[in-house]
Amino acid sequence: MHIDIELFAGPRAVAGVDCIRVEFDATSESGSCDAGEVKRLIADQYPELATYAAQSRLAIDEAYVTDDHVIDLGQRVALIPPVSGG
Amino acid sequence: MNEPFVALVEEPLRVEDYLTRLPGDSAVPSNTIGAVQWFLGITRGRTEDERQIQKTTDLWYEAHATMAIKEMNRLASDAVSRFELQGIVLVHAIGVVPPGQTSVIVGVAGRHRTPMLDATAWIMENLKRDVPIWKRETFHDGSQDWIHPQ
Repeated sequence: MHIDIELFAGPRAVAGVDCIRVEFDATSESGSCDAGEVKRLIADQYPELATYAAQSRLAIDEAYVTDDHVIDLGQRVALIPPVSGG
Repeated sequence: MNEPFVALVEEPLRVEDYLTRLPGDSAVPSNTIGAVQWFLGITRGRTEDERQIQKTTDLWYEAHATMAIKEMNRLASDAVSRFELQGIVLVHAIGVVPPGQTSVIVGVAGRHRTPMLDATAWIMENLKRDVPIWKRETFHDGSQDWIHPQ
């Protein structure tokens, strides 16, 4: 199974791409995983993003979620590093 | 109550473009507005930290645009309820904003001055925490940094 994750700002610059894909074993009945697990997968599979993954929040379908939020396949997932607007 | 006005704009901002978006402006007279507060965020040409002072030659703002608009609308709606606003303008620039130009505008209107001053501070604190917009600074030596506050 896999989840595609949009990148912005620093993480995108470091990765050199707008989107990454994380692979995982479908162990749950839903065949998905939660946001905290996705951040761990990012750190494991893209070590250059590990620091950002630890500092960032995930957004699902353009809304922040907590680490225990279960992600359904097909939802729009974005890694949101600390923001600096203003 | 005016509808909240929220936007991302691909150029430095000019507050005069938004004055009539709030009730209480001379062009939109109101009997219930006692205070109108405008805040402009200006890009600085110098960055200081504990290690060094660097001259910033260029600033670039990027947004997760659809999410940023949603978050800004949520923020505007919450501020209207919390501070009994009768009008709110919330605009952020994206793309290039040279030093000394306006990157963000907050305008609020309501009955009394204190809630308007409080609302402005509250909106900016929340915008700088939750709205997915990021700033990249280019320094005098050509190096660049995405700013991700800890």
